[in-house]
Amino acid sequence: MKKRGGSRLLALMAAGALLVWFNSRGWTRPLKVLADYTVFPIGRGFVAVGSGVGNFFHTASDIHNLTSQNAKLEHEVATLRQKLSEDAELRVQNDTLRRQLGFNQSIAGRLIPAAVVAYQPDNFRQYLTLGRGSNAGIKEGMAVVTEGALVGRVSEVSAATSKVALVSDPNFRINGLDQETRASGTVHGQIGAGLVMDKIAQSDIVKTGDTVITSGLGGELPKGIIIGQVQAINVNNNDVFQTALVAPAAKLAHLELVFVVIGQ
Amino acid sequence: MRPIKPLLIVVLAALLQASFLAAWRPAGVIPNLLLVVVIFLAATRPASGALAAALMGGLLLDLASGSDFGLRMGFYSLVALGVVVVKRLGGDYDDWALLVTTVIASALVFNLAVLANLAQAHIEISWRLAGVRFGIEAVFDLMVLGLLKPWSRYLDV
Repeated sequence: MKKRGGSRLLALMAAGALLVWFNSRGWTRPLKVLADYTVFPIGRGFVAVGSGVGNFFHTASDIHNLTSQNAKLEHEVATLRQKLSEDAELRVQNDTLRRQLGFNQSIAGRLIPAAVVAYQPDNFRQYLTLGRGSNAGIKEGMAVVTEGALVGRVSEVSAATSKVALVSDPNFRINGLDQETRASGTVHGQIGAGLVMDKIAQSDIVKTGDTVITSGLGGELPKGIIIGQVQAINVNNNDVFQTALVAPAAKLAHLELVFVVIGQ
Repeated sequence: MRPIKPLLIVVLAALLQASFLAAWRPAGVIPNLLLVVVIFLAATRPASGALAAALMGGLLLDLASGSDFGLRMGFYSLVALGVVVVKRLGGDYDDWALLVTTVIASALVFNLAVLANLAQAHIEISWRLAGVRFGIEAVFDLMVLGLLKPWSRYLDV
């Protein structure tokens, strides 16, 4: 009896090791497809409930700030409305000049909505699983956004789901550009502490409050997607580069719906 | 029904961890619900049943994860086997001290494994922030342990 138990244990451990080896060869696809169609759709409902609970506690703890936040946001809306009408005029001028110079019209990417069905189940890596995959036209490397801000990049795709590496993942790297001063650097996530933009030349100027956008360099992601806002700058004259701390513009916690940019 | 019940329980625990708890993130961390469930299963069921359930739960979390496929399967299997060994050496998992030690030590080992993978890829790690995050997770893992302990006897039918 003991011998049978021991061989059963060995068989189970061997099965586990075999699955890992299969995955390295890409042979676990049928298993992933099975999970895509059975388990992850249920996860979507749980994500919605979890996000609701998280938002409730966040709001309850933040209630004393709501009045001042409301006033600040009303002022911001009024300023943005003014800016929108100025931008509309600028867009018309831009299009006219492009036509006159013979430039091609820039093609905006098409946005595909996708629900979040699962998150990275532990605390140091930052990924999420979307409920749409290659069947919807999603490919590896595509940008994922929400409310106009960068969420991350598609890292893995199957027929019905895709994995997205978030901007806050420590392994995520993207070339960023200061929208105001045009200083460039590499933006990457760090554990539990927002984003860092480093490799900024000492001669470049970066100010607190500046908006950081994707630069489009290397063709990884489209240019102009908002990454976040500069919170603090670390300048040391003895260093080759300066570093800035960036708060991500997208609310990466409690995400339920995001958009994948395709066709850029 | 006997072999299916632990498998259903770990499937539910893995699903809740990867969706509900990961979306909620109390205090910004995800409690390791599956770890507590695997420990209870390994403490109350035969070794092969506990290992099969740990493998299943770990596999589901690996499928939900975007990195390190196989890490969770390996980790939860080791936890199940470790609990079985301690039980055979005379450990009593009705004792709170042993339960708390197992949960904290296991969570620490797992987080160190993830951080080691990042360090190997030359990612800069703030060990102070990682320690704070682990500390908060450990507190929530112990809260989950406290919530589930009265129900653990229902795992052995």
